[in-house]
Amino acid sequence: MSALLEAAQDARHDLGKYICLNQRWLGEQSPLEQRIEALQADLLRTQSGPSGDVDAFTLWARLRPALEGAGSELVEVDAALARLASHRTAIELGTPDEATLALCLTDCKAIADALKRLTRRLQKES
Amino acid sequence: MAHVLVIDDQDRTLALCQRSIPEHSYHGPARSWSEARRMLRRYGSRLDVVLLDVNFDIEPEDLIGLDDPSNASALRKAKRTQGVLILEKLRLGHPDLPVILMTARDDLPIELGDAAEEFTHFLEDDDLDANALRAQIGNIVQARRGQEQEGPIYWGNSIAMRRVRGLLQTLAKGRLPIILGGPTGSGKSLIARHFVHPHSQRSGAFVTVDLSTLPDNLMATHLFGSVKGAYTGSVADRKGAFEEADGGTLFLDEVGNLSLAAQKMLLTVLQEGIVTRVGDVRERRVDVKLVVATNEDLRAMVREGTFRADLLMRLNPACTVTLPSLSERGLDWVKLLGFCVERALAGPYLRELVSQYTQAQGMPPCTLQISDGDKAPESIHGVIQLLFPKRSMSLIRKHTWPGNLREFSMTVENALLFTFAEQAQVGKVERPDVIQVRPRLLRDLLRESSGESAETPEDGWQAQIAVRPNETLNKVAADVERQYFTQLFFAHKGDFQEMARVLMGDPDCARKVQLRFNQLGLKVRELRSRL
Repeated sequence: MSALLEAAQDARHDLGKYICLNQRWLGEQSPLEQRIEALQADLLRTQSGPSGDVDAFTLWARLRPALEGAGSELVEVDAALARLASHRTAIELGTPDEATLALCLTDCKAIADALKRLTRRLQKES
Repeated sequence: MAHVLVIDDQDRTLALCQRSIPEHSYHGPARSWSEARRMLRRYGSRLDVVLLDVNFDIEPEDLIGLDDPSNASALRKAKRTQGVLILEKLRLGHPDLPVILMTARDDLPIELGDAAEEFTHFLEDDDLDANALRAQIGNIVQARRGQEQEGPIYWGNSIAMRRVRGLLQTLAKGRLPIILGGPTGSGKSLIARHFVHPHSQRSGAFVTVDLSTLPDNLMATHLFGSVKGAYTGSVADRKGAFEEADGGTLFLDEVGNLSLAAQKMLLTVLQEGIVTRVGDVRERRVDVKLVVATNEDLRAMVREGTFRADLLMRLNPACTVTLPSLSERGLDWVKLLGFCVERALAGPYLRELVSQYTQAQGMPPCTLQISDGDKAPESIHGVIQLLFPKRSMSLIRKHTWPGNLREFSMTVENALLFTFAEQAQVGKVERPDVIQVRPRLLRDLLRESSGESAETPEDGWQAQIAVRPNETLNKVAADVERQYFTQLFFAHKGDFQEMARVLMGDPDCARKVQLRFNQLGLKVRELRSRL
């Protein structure tokens, strides 16, 4: 298995799986407060373990170098994370409005989708 | 409510499930195979479904399938495929426990192998939300409980039994006869009554005739009917089993016992779909789904001339369905015990004993559930847990069950009767919700069932003792022994190995038994001539 495919699988699991887990789980009909909590969990505590929490931005910064040159999907992830970063303060403060929440969910889903496509493409190519 | 075991290295899924789907009871998370194994042992028979993650980011010593932890590539692979390796281990002990793998089938890092069968489901990340999981668990539990409620048949989990079930489902709907083969006690008549007949989509009656109990001269009348005066004592017209089963199913058990005359008449019915009562000329059209059962080799009987070849051909031998013995059914013993306990509780006496017990212990009406292991399980409200300690389970597993499901059911029913009868004597106990089925009781029951085989009458063999004045005790004892050995000889058709097994628990002692025959003056050649 190529190193690139392994890196893509890692990214798909570590970031793609958890970037919208809580938001998806709750569904879009849940109360605003719960959806804000879900977004915070997905974006700011994307990876959690005994050694502490890691947010999505830090995680991507760790994962991306191994994926360099993998394809256009990386740009999609970069762009989505950049958009999410612009709302970071509001997310941390727990103050995003409905419109912002919807945009964030779209971006989180875009990241998950891009990483899934990347992994499947590399799997096919390998 | 379903019992769900979560096997995941993280707490998230469990927390989400508990918050969003609170109607189920969750166990775990088990963060490794060793934790999962412990929980499977603890909750095994109670679990309805397992939620299993694939990627386990855990310490190397907790990973299975990792030979060299210092090899980074092997370590990575073991972590990424841990869920699949856990599934393979889990399947060894729980072949039909539904498992939802929290990944898409296409994303699996390795092939699933034999573990990918009908009890393994997938839930893709994109679909991993409360509603999707609720629906999936609901569907699985509904299908599982629906399957369990499919009559008093224990199918087991083996591929052979699944094939049998599928085959019967198809054959039941067709118009051709079905031959059911398989060893004694394997449930042929249960399957004919509770599976084939309901699946045949026929509205008529299910009629069963055991041909081993019918004298040859009454067979034709019983099967095809008779008219008044057809034979001495025939005082009125009488319908036969075929007419009774018109529009339904006729089950002929032990079809190898069918007399040659009745075979010829049966052939006509199968060819023409017409029955003629004995002594009558009028033909009656019948539409009957015929199911016949035998544990004999009908082809061999054809060769010996005791079964008509043309009849065998009409019985659809190409689709003979042979039921496997109990030991070939891929058993989940705990589940089988639960199945038999439920059946046993259909009897009023046992139900009464259980009810007396719960009343005496000040408990509400309870259901019975099987639990295994040496530790008392956790309490469950409204449930009495029948605890089969390891030694009891070991006895059950090691027994060969020559009488198959019938023998198993009877042993379980006896064990329950004796256990509850015993409990009635002990007064108040600390944990009335846990009742142990003692190994000793099971050992006694199994010894009885294997030692006194089917040939022994229920009230035992009778021996006559003539005691005369001056008769030595040795002489009286030898007389009894002689009679006992003679009956044993006939019961086991002169097989000394079998007799040695019964008498001494070792078939290799046949020679010793034969010597004792000689000492008692029993002439083996003469006895053989009477077999």
